[in-house]
Amino acid sequence: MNYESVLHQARAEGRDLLNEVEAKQLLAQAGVPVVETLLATTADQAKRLAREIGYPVVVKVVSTDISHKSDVGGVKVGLANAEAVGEAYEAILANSRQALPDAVITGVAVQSMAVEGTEIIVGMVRDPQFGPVMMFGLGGIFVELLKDVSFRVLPLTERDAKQMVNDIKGRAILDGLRGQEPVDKAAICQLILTASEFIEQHPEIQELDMNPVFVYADGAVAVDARIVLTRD
Amino acid sequence: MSVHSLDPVFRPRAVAVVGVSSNPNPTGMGSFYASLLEAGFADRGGLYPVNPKVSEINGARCYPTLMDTPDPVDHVISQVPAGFVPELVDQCVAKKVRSIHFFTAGFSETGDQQMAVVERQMIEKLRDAGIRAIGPNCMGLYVPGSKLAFMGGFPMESGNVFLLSQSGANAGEVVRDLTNRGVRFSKVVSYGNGADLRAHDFLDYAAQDQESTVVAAYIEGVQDGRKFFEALQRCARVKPVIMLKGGRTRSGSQAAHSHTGSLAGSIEIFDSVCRQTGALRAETMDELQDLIVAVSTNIRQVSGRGVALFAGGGGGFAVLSADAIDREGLTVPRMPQSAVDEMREYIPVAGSSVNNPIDAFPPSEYLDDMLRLIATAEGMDMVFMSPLIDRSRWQSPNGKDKDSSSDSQSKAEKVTNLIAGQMKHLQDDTGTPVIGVIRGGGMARMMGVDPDDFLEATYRQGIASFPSVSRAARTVNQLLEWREYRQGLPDLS
Repeated sequence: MNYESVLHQARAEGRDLLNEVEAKQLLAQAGVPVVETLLATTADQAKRLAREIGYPVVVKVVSTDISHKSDVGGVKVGLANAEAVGEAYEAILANSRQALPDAVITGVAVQSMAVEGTEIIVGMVRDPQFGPVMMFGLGGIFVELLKDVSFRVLPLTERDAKQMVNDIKGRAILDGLRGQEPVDKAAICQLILTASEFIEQHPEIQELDMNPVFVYADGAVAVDARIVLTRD
Repeated sequence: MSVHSLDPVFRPRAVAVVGVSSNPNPTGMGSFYASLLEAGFADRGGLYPVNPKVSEINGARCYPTLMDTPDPVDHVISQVPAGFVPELVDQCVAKKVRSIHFFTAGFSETGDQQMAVVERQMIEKLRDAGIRAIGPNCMGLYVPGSKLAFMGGFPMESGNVFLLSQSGANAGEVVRDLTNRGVRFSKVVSYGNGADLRAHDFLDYAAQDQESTVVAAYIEGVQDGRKFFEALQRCARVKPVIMLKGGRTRSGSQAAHSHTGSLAGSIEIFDSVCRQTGALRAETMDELQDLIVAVSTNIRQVSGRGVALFAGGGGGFAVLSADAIDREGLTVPRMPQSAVDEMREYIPVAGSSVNNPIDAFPPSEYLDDMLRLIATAEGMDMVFMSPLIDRSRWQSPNGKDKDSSSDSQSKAEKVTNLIAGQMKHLQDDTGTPVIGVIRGGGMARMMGVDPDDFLEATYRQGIASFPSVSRAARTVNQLLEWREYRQGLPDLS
């Protein structure tokens, strides 16, 4: 699945929004570390993919019509064997159809269960004056409640990426609070830079949202991703 | 050196003021002819008033139309009502002028779609003829080197500051306030709606203008964001650029929209752009002015956050000043014991403090030694100094003035210059930046010092001075933060 074919398919279906599997696969091809996520359209395929990826896995509904997957019962985590994956597959489809009968469901995503790290978000928004702008922040409450985020106008240099990581008020959390190990800031910078290059190469990307990204003492990985295309 | 394409705009050979008022009063907005006369432009080149209803102004011939003026006319100032602008534009094309400044308002800033179209059409016509436009809805140019001024009372001495402003009144206020502090300008542009020439054009010009070593801007809305970003990036690489953005709040944005038709945009992103490009960011007119003073003096070289506070004025003032310094992100470190011991030899008086803050009046003959001791003590990155510390130089012990001259103004000047000289001497001698602080008028005047004179006299000596301790501390802290986020860009200190 290359960039052009994903784009083509989305356009053909009249979609501005890429689904999670598409978004992650494009990011992975561009060199952004993402949690491996594959699409299954049958229960058997889901079981096979789970074995390939390695247990435990997470299974989620894939539909661009469903934005809050857990609210509709569309997410099952910590699945440790094939039987659990098969049951989850059926349950997720049933729950989603019941909650949103009109939603077009592409299938389910099977992904490895990422080890929890410090939650951050990395994204791109389009500013009406300056054009594409990268955004960085700590995830969860920090971004939602405190709006503790930093911005840099594209194109980004290494200096810009380093500064945006250090610009947030909550940076002490990244440096290791109360005896915690500091997180891998270099990995965050690299992820920001790789994502910004990806965006520069593809001007038809309107918005990018990687939320959350888990960052560890060594490395970082995007757990969920969302890409919005410009309108045709 | 190559000549920038905007250079002729700043150096017209002759200027016509079209729609001139018959009353040549150089005060207030819109008195361009009178301001140019006062600035002495007529000594430099042709200055032609144009108004069909007026035959002469103060004995000078007034021309009925632009077409009747002698050739060449390089620059036209339009004071005609918006309805007459299309005709004037045609005349400018026929007359082959190089630039036109529209004081005339009533175009896109009104929100009227039709006037926005008229504005666009006239700019297209001018562009096709190679004529650049400033405005509409603005005050235009103040260029002392070319004897151009848009208000009366501006100094005709050139300086180092390039000021760019979407508001003419704000530009005038910065010029007047900073003139009082000793600052002089290379070029000032008020560009209003920016229908043709915009912030990025002027930033590009300022970046290469050798006369301008400091660039300051008041902006309400960013036009051509990408070009603005890139021009700011280029300019801020090579010289200090200070940005004051109007419309930071919801109410301010609404005001900006009706003022210059600007969309104020996201302030978070604008602030990020300043950090990214290495520009200094001011939030108020006071900050803009303080930062201009700061980067034009050698406090650009302040190396740390430790302040030796030697401001006089009593123990309570010392405490509040220390609070203010701390609050603004600097520190008042304790004097090293060795320095305290040494100072005690000069000041045996009880009730004075030689710790930091230093609240003591040493005998005059020891003052220089003591100042040197303070400025070179460990941990002191700068000295905050007020003119109030040195009263013994001009007052005898009984409190009577030593100088009995009745001319109090010349006495104040003498005192002020003496102190400014002393501060410069201390700074040169020790290499530690010395920063002047002067408290509100009453206290200073009691000591025979005029605050405005002090600000100006010290600036002329290369010393940055501020009207309060907290403004001084805030400015230094902004400079230090600026230097930190400029890491990776060329060093400008």
